Amino acid sequence: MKIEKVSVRNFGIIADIDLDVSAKEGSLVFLNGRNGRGKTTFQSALRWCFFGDEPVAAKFLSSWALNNAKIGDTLTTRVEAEITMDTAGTIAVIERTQLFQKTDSVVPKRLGQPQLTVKIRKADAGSLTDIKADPEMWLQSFFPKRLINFFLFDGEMMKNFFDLKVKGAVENAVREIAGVDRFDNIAQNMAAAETILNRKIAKLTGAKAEKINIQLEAQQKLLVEIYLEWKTLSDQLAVNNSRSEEISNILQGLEGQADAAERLKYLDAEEADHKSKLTRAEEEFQSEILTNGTNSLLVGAFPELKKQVARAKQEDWLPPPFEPARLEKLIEDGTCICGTHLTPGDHFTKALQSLIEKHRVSSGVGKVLDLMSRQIDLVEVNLQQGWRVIQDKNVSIMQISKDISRVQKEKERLLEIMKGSDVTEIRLLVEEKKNLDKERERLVTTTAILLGQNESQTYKVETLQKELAQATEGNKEAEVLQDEAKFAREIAEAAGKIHQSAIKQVRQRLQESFTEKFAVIKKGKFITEITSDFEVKTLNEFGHETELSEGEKMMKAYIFAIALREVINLGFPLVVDTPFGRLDSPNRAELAKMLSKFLEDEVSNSNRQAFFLMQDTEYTPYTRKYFEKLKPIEAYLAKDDKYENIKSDLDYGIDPDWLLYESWKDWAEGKLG
Amino acid sequence: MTSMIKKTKRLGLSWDSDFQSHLGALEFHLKKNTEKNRISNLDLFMLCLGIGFEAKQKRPTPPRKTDAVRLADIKEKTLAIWQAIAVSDTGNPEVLLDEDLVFDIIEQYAAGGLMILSVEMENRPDFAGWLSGKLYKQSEAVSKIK
Repeated sequence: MKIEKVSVRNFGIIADIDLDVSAKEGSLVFLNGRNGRGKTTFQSALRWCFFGDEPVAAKFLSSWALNNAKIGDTLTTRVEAEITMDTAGTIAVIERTQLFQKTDSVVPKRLGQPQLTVKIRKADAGSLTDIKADPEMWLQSFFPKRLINFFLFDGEMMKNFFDLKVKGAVENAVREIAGVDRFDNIAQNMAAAETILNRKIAKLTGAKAEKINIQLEAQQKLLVEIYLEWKTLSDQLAVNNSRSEEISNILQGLEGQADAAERLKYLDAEEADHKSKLTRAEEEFQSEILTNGTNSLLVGAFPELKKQVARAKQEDWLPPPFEPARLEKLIEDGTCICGTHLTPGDHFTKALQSLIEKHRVSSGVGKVLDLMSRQIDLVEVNLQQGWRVIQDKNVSIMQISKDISRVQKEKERLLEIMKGSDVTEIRLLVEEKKNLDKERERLVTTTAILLGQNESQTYKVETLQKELAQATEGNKEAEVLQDEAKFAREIAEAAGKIHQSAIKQVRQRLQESFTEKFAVIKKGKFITEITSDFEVKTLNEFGHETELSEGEKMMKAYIFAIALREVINLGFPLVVDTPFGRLDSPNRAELAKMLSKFLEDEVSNSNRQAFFLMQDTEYTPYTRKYFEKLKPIEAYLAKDDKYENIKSDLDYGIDPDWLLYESWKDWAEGKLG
Repeated sequence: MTSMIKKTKRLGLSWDSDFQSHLGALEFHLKKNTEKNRISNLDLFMLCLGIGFEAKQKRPTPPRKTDAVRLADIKEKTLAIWQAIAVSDTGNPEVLLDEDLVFDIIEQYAAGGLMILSVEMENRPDFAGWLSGKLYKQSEAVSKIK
């Protein structure tokens, strides 16, 4: 896919430009320009054209156009891109427009909604055909919004791309490629079908089933609400974490604050460790309370037992065991130990037999009491030991809580030190970090509560589903529908599982492609792993995460974008603003070499294209040399002499203004080799 | 000599079917709060028994099934506690001579406890916290008795 022409009208500082590279050789386009000349605006115009993302109001309608209009005049902001879609030569012309009207107020009046038109022409067909049905959907199929971060890059962010911003972007990309939306749709449709079937079943089988079904629907609705709230908060938490980490990294990089920032980062890790210990200690504490507390509830039974044991002792029921056989032998022998003669049926024999029976019972009870009292003694000892364990755990929890509090105080102290800095930027960042940390506490607690509620709610829904199934048992018609509802539920669950499997496969393919490409820039056995929460990690042969240089980090982001194109098989162009970011000269040279190598494959061996939007310190004669083999097309956005602050024009080659300064001047004068 | 004790023919004890449906939720709350991966039927039964006995809340003996705990799995210590409850309930140690009588009493208190817990689960938003607090206080009180 190649952008052949871009025409921008009345968009921010770009009042009227036409970039046409269709007749030029090469697929690498350098659109250069000094700060404020419209490079980012150019990217922003493409973003609006392809994805419908509007810039902020002040950067939308061109000030130049507005200044030149009279009150009541209608002005059109328009971006049009002509693209070669495939190697067969299919052409698409994408145009997005927005009408404004100049009023007596400073802000122009917007007239209607933005309009999108897409026209395509097959290679062998003569004229362009308007896609009237749903141009947005057509556009989305070639320029999926979730891949926006891999189409329109910001080089400033590249260095920290995988540390900070990319989790969401990678997740979006993987979900897009895996077609997760389709599976979600199936799951939603099947869930809706199940609801309708359940209503029918309930109606067929009477009031009880209907009542259960009403409860079931209400609980299912609640479950969805809890899940959505949890998802929103989890997303917020991820954004919060990324921003907090980003600030830590920025602060770390600031001169004079490095020690404090380094310590702050260490304290963040220490705090996380303590919190994980706290969770474990609390769980162990609760387990011990459950065991010990349950037995403690039963100790009320022990006094009566002790009373009975004392009585048994007093009345001699307890062992040494009563031996009725020895007494029975006296009756058999006919003589008691006191010398009384015993005859069967006489008064003495009967009395002795009654005594034997009475003692047989009390001895039986005594034996059990004896065993019981020993066990109960053990239970009581265990209870005391258990209480000590509970106290120990309690102390441990308090200690960990104190540790957490100490770490938090230390963090606050460091933040205060950094806040004292004269640099406003640091002060603002520190303030923001403090607020983010506070907010994070709240989000962590709330998401944990919601997760618990979600599990509890899932249980309620499952119970009601079982109850509904029981209530409809016996009604044949209902049972048929019940089977259908079960089938719908199974399909919904299967869609969820396929969705997981598809995500896993896409992750796998990206990992493989990335690992292969990364081997070109970094020697050694490195593996790229995309974790289940979409972190992209570079691991060495021992499976440990590897430290990368700044240049390697940026390169990693580029490689990911290139690997993504390979996996998705959509060759949309790569449009990078400030592609070298804040890299120093050696890193910049290294990156330029590596990029040149990759782009050689990317643009020369395929129908693909890259746009680099650079200023003069990025695009030097040296940089130019690295990309020489690719025969880049050079164009520049330069100030319009007449309206230098509000209008830029486009031309090809090197900005003549550059040739008056620094390295470009030396280059022009032949002083550079 | 034959034993004086009338042995039971039962294989296990029974839950009260009126409140049995709440057991899953009870298990969920216990799992959520503790590091235990599995809450056994005996854990649940003992908790219900404890709650019922402490509140002196009995329910009619449930119809005999074996859905609560298997008697073959009961350890001597647990049995001793059950017997102590039966003695305490009747005030007569001769209850120990009939195992079925002991088990009936246990089931009645466990059913009472399950009823109490079911009602609490329905009405208390922070059921797990309430239960944990109750068990903690009870442990503390018992430690002071000694």
